[in-house]
Amino acid sequence: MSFFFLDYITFVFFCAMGAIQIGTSIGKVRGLLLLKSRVPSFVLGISLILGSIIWFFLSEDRNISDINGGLDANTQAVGFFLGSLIAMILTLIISSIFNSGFKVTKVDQIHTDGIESLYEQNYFSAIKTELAKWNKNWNQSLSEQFSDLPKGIIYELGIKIIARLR
Amino acid sequence: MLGSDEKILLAINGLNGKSKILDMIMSWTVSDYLIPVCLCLTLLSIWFIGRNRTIRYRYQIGVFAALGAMALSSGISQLISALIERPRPFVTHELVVIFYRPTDFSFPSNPVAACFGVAAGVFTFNKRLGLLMFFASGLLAFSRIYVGVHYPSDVIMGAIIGICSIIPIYLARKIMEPMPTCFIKVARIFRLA
Repeated sequence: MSFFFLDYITFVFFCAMGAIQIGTSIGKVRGLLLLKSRVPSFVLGISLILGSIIWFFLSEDRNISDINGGLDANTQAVGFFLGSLIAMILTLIISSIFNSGFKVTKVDQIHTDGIESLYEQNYFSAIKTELAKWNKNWNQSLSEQFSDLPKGIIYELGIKIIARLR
Repeated sequence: MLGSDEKILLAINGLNGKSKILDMIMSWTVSDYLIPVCLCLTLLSIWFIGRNRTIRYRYQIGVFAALGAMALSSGISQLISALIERPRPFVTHELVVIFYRPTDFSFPSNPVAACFGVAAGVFTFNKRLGLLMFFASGLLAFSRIYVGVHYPSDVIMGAIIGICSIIPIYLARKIMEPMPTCFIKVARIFRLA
């Protein structure tokens, strides 16, 4: 693994942390914020992106051909995926630790489904609730999630073919 | 006798070296790691941006459409590039090149096509953000002429391919939609969508 690739992953990692903070602060997903409120988290996100861009481009000459030590398109895609994945996992862990003292103000207003559940609680609490729900009745939980999938043309075709074969 | 393509190329590339600040800005914006990475990071942000479940779902489907348009435009431009085999402008003209000299063919510009594909995908569900991304893609296109690695016609064709690539994605949405929807459903179980 080249130093250039490691630098690229580090660059993407910090940028992705910033992008997640910007997205979650606009989307009001409080459970994923790294700071107490939305505006400081938004500023943190912008700072992380700008800081990592400045570091990446000023530390070395980055306009290098993939033949001379740069990265080809496939390696770039892999690096981007890895950097973003690590950023996402670390955001989930760090935000859960920082927001462990989240006090739910109105219990009846807690969203129990999807990312909306992170409006009022941290990620670990939300996952704990989800696991408990699945443990209780996984069959019903599965059908709740997937019963309203759009059917699409392939589905319709499949149904017709099966009907004809019968 | 020079065609208008060459004339525009020489005029834009002629700006090279006249301003150190402009040269530095262009050497950053032309990079493979700045604008393409920023556009992908915007897609990552968009995933969380929606203020309620309906808007967020529409945005998340849009992220998949933008990724599809990027992949399709990149594939089409590589196919055309292999068929036409146009050499890079610095091979046939005396240009000031402040970028590494790519060894692949010039027509059409693959990074420009991919970036315009992403921008077109985002434009379908968020006009303001889409326009901003078109501007960033346009900056990438201009800087690639500025540093002497593309003809103007390369980047124009790249932009057209990128923008048009959203059309088959849009037309195929009925067939394709269950796949991203299924992914979003799984992500919702893990509280990530």
